[in-house]
Amino acid sequence: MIETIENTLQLVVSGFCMIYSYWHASVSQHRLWLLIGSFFLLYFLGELYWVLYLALYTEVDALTFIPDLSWANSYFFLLLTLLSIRKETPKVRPSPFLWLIPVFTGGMCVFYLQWGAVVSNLVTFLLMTLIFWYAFDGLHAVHKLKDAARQTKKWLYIVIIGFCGLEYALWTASCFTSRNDLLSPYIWIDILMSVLFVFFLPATRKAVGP
Amino acid sequence: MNYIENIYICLTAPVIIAAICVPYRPRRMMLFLLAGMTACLLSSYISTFLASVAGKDLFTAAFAIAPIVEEVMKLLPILFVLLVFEPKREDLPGYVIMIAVGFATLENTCYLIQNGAAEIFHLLIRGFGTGALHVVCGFFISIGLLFLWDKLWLQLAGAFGLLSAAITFHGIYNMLVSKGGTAASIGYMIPIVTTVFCASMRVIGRSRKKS
Repeated sequence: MIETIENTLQLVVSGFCMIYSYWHASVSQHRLWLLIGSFFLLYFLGELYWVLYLALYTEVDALTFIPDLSWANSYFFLLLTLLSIRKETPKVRPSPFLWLIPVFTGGMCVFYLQWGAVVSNLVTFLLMTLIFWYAFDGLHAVHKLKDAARQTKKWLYIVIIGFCGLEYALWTASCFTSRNDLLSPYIWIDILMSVLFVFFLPATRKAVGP
Repeated sequence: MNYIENIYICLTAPVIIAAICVPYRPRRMMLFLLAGMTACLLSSYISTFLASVAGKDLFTAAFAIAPIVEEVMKLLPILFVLLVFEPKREDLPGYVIMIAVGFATLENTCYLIQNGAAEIFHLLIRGFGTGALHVVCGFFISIGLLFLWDKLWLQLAGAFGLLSAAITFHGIYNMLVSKGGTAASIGYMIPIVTTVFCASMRVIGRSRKKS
């Protein structure tokens, strides 16, 4: 029951963020809003498929990979968002600490292979490595350049890093607990994720500018 | 048996003859209509084959396999045209929608022959629902092809990204419709409501932009 409530909350929030982003994309014609809107569209559709599947059918079939496909492609649009912002930022020398990212994501990929399929884990590893890399690199560039115009992009980098961090927390929590009540950390992390979605909107607004 | 090949021949024959006779621009649209019907025919073969390979019944295949197969098959003609002929960008949505219309037409005709044409209210909803579904899915792909990037490889990357949106949307529709009853009614209405909503947003956004 609590999982259904929490999934529905996330559905409503991601749906609202999707409509808001696409609305701004149609008015401002700015690509960043379109990319963020597409991220929310894919996340929302994956969530809707999952919620409806759980509501209509009792058993989870191995063939229900359609929501996973949707969520993986939502990460892809976050990556395109970072590439889009990166185009507007002059290159600075990357920090050597960035190499810790593939160490982390690779290690987590190996850990998750105990539970999940090889292909999906490798795709997630690749996407998350690239997202974390470009997001941290972007933050590093903003910090180095100290340019007021580029400081506006900082919040979007932070929100994207927060989202990816919460995704890893969610996946890790699901490996150790199958509880479906308020004591489950999975439920609370997912609620936090729903709250984080809302912060994408002001962060994107700042990044797009007036 | 629904004799889909026979239905395909009957529907495509007048379109082929018309395509030979009309000028260049309408002919292109008819060819995309034919491509949509062909994609529907091939999708039915591939979905049935994959369902038997995976050991799943057609009910499960309807919302787990068919959406992926159908959306990929609808995308292939557009990819071919994009890579080989490099058409004008503003023509792409029209091509995508003609493929969607062709696909929906053959699908609805096969449904009529299998299930009869007596219940007009149900068929009204089903006809518009299926048509709107394929148009909305085509619209998702158009966003990826037209607006996401300037370079071809990124356009294609964006199109594949939004292809999964079309697959999931299609999967949701098939899942609800397969269940029957109230769920099916909601399923049929989702694409219609989505189409009306997207069209309204577009009109309001444009009028706000003009003002």
